[in-house]
Amino acid sequence: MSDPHDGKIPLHISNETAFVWSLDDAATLRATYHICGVLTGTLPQAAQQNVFLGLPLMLMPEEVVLLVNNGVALLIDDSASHTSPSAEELSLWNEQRRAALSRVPKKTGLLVPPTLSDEALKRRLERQKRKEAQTTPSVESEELMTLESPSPLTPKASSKELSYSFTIPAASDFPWYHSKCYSSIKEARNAGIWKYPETPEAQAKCAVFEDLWKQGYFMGNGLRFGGDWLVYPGVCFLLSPSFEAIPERPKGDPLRFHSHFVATVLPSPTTEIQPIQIVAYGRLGTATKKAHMLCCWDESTRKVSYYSIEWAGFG
Amino acid sequence: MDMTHENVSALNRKYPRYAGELFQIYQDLLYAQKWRSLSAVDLISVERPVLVGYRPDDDGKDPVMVVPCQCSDVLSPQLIQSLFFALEDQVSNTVHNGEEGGPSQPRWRRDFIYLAITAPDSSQVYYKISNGISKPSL
Repeated sequence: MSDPHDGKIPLHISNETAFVWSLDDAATLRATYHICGVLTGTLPQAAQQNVFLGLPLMLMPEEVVLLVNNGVALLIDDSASHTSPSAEELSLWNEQRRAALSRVPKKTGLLVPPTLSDEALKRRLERQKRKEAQTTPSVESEELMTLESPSPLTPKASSKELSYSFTIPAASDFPWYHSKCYSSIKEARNAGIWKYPETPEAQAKCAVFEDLWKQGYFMGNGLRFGGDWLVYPGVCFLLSPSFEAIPERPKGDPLRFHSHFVATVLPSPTTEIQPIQIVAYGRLGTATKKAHMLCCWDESTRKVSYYSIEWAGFG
Repeated sequence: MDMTHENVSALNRKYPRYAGELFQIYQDLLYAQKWRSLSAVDLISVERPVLVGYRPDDDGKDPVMVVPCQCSDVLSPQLIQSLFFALEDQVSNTVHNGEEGGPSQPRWRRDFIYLAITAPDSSQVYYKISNGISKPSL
């Protein structure tokens, strides 16, 4: 079956925000293209916290523009891709769903709470055995979107071994799903699903982001440090025996390193900077063991100039 | 070498707009920060005076440029770039002990400058601006 996306990573656009729903694609973006994104999905096993999150991966607008412009990804209009099913399609899907439901084991009437002690669990299982002798295998249907009842456990199983499986569909594989793809920013803009970049400032940000990315840096959101992005150390080079520089794989993954820089984009060489801003950038950067980096985009030369700011250490 | 405030008087007369901060930073670097071989330089390409010298803990051979400015000044990437270009060219008239055309100065450090920002209450702060992507010092 041919790849409908021509080997490119699909970015699902919803309300002008790009999401990656595939775990493999998220891993590829990180490992191969040093694009990290932000996980925004609630983990079913830990729903009442937001420290650890799962899919989908949400990308910054600059990341989206870079990936599409470099032919790595394409945009999918998720809303338009989900068409209305025909009567036949709906009927077929319903039949399949009924068949899957019929394979689900009968409800035992008992959901074993995970906090149950081993002894209490043993007593409950013996009671359950007396009521029902039948045990059925668990259903592994990927299409089901219902909560699967846990299988009865053996008496030796402790409460720690109890597990629930939640199947969250990461891809829409309905017969009536036809992905509406756009392989360029211009096409997506014409279709009205993507607008960024619209202003000269946004264009400058895209240009600076791509320049930093080409130098091998990882970038993350810079809101917490008063800048546009955090810039993590990028590709490191090794020296071969013949003193030739060999690029090592990217080493600046935010999971392993702290960032060195807080980057702020200046859209043109004539952008005004107040000295008090230099003070603010310098103090915040130095206090957090980083340097604040001014990234100035020059539209006429199409080059980026970088200036790093930190406290002088005296005065 | 007699480093008196007359060193900067010629540039104060030429650039009255920057006279206040130039003199204040000169005084601070010379007497409070104990900089060595401090001199005022006319940076013609950017039309403003700067100071050049060595930090007391700096045993490098190239002096560093300090650019005084007021809190109310307006800077820009273009200005910062001009300052670094001037470092490359080192096209300046050096006021050295009040004599023009004095002994040639050593080449200045080109990788960074100090920006000295003064406030109306006579306080000053110094920030290091490096040319390019420069990792923070440990």
